[in-house]
Amino acid sequence: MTALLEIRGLKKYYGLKKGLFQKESRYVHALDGIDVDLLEGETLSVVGESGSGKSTLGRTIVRLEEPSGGEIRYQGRDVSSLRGAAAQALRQHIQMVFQDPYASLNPRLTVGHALAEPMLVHRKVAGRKAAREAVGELLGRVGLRPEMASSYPFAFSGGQRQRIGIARALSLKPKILICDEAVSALDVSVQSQILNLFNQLKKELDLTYLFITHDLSVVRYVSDRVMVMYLGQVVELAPRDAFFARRLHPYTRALISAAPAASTAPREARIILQGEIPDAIDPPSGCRFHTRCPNVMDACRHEEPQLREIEPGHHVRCHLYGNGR
Amino acid sequence: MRDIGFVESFSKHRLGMIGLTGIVIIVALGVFGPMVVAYPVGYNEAMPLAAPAREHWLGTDGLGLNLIDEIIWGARTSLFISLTAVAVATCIGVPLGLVSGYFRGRIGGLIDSVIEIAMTIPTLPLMILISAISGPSVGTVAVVIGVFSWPTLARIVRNSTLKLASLPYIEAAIVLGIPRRTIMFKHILLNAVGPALVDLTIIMATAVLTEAGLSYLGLGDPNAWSWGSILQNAFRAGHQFHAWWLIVFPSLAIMFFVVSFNLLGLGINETLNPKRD
Amino acid sequence: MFRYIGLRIVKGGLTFLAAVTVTFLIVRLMPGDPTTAFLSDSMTAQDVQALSAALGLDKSLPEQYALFLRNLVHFELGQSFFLKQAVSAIIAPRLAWTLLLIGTSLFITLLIGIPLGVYTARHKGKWIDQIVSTMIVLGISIFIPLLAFVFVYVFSLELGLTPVGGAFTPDVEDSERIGDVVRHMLLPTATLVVVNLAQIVLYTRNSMLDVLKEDYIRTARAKGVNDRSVTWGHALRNAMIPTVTVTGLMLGRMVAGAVLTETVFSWPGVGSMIYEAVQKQDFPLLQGAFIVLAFSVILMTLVTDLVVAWLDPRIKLDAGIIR
Repeated sequence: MTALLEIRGLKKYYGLKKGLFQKESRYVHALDGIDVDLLEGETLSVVGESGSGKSTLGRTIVRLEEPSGGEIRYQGRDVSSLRGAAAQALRQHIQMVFQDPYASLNPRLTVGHALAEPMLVHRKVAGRKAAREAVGELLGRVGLRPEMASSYPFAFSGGQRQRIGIARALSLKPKILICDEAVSALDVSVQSQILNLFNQLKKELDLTYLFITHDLSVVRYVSDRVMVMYLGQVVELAPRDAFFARRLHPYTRALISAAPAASTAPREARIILQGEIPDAIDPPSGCRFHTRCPNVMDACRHEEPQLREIEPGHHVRCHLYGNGR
Repeated sequence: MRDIGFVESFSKHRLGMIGLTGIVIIVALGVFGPMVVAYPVGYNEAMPLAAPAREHWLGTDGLGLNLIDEIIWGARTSLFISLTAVAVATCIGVPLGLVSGYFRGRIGGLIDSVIEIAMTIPTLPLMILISAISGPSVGTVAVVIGVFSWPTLARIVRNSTLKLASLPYIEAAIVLGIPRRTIMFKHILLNAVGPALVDLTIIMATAVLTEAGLSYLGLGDPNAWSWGSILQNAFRAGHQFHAWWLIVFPSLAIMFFVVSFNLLGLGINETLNPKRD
Repeated sequence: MFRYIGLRIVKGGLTFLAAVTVTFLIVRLMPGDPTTAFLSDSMTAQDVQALSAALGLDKSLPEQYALFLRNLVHFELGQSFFLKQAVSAIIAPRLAWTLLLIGTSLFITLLIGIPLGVYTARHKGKWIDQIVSTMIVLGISIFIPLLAFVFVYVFSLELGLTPVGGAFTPDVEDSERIGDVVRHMLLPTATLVVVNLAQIVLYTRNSMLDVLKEDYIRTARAKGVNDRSVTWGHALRNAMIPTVTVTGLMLGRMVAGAVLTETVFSWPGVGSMIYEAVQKQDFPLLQGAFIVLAFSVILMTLVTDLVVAWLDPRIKLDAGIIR
């Protein structure tokens, strides 16, 4: 499969200002050197706790944030510093679905207006009649009725609003959808409907997803590959089945063991991590996870492990593997 | 959200509805009154300084002209002044507030400092200075009031914009490639209208009070009937102590206008932010 | 905190500069001959020449501006047309009277307004709150000359309790002088208080209502802190911040109110001086009055900002973004 998106060494630092006249002297290392490819047609899930940088990754790809370093290549071309018309053109290829259905639609615009607007701005349709038809078609695709176009968001439930948000993201016919916790704010029963919608749309429209979530059951359901982030770095990247079966990285093990499982089988022992996520302003030396790792070794405190491909397609950043051990 | 129910909620707010009624009356008087009533001019020998009676319900002034005519024409002037002031303040204040709130960083801070400086300058003395130098005229007064009212409006719009700009639906618009100008002047503005509207009612009320004050100080437009100029004439000629109607009725008209708009603003404000326990 | 204060002072200075620059521009760029603002027919040709030279009316605009600023620094505000004295000499005593009036009014307004606002916030909805709320709406709508007129009519003319105008009676015994001034001050102060009370009560009440809803108040109550302590101790300090801020903003309006009030009561302050200057088209006096008023307002605003700085621990500790 070809790589639609190639990310190399992506960094995003936020400077902390201490007041009006003092210069920034400390940085939040939200993204600290991310290397990953998004392959065409796949669903790559990005998992992590809050502070891991997973949302920042999504936001940086769609240019809600400007990268502080590194490259983003789309279809081979570097797009990390595009401006003006070129940046606008890119918007038609990569779009985003947001987390909160109650805050991601402008309460003052009708659904039809919100859906038609991007198409009109990018001249995908000409004239109101064409726009109306296109809107109707979009609504149908996400399982809503065309008449809903004349209503305002307040008239809809959370699940319906999220469908509208998805329709809006699809209005420009993108190839890539970044789904930033797109089902996290929904009731569980609605979650499964929306996930099914995602899967269906992916087939119908040949989409590629970057699925950002903290919920491992969602990951299990939709993913082709899984990527785990910790404190701004990728710590594990693997195809889904290998990910859940092998659980190489200690952090991954802790995450999976903590996920609630609806099953009457005897529970496996929960791995409870010591301490809290360290400050992203001053990440720990060596391996960033070493302060909480149950398998910590001496090397972990001093030497930062690299992301290595341990098995075909399975990458881990940990001293337990590789290093000629 | 609940804003579609805004009209409904507002109609339940008693004081707000009272204000709205008052405004409707004023508009009716100001717009239609002058079509019915002749422009008071000249000199009516018959009845100077006559107390309210059947021929002239509110009495007559020093020139024998009917006070009620003057008050009706004054309503038109008041509407003109307050609407002009609002227009001027809006044209300056709203764009500045939007830009300042959207582009936080340095531009935003700079505009905000300008707003703050403009807010602190005491306005009445300056208005007196301007009127004294450029000669009294209703138009000038209205524009000047508008020019002094924009900072508060800009502040309010800026505060709303600051809150709105980080909401997901604005971020969605950015990601969708909606141009910045559209985001500010459609997406954000539509949601920032509420508090701004309240300030507009205050501007209208203040405009009339200010004009009345300026007229009282002798800076009113002698060619336009305004409630303030009726008072000005009365005080100037020393009529105030024996022709009480010349003072009371225009003042009541002024207060009626101001109270109506303040109530309307109060109603809008409380409908938008109900302070229920 | 000191950075905040420093910033405030700089802003105050800039504001003053803006105010005087606007004044400068208005007088010189207004339609009509700018020289008439400073010269008048009653001056002799020699006076005219001297004045022209002093004001630099024959020079270019930037040079005039520089001259204007330099004069300002030396408190040189020009010569009054009609009183043939230096403007600064005329203004000084009148400023004192105005400050007396505004200061006293402000003090009384805050003294009554803040407790009243707090009280109505606590007893929200009850009849006392309704009455006060109604009076607030009326209060912010009042037309000052009317109120002043009514006061004078009732208390001075009908009841003969207070003098009709002025600030003092000449030829009064030194021992009686203070009492005399106080009596003269009653009505003008009452007028200003009534007008501004409404604003203060409105703001205090609203910000108090906001604060009382906060969780930390609920915590204090749950801890068993008695109600009065909660209100006056915990809540008030935080509720005060917007009130003090709005007082600062209100000062500009108080000045406007003072202009009208002084005129009605013939109070010999800067406000009534403005009225007289307008009547006689004495532009140097007008300009000087404006500059002086602007300076006073800005200074008072600065003081309120300092009070806010003292009250708000976030500013004191330089924690977080301030505005």
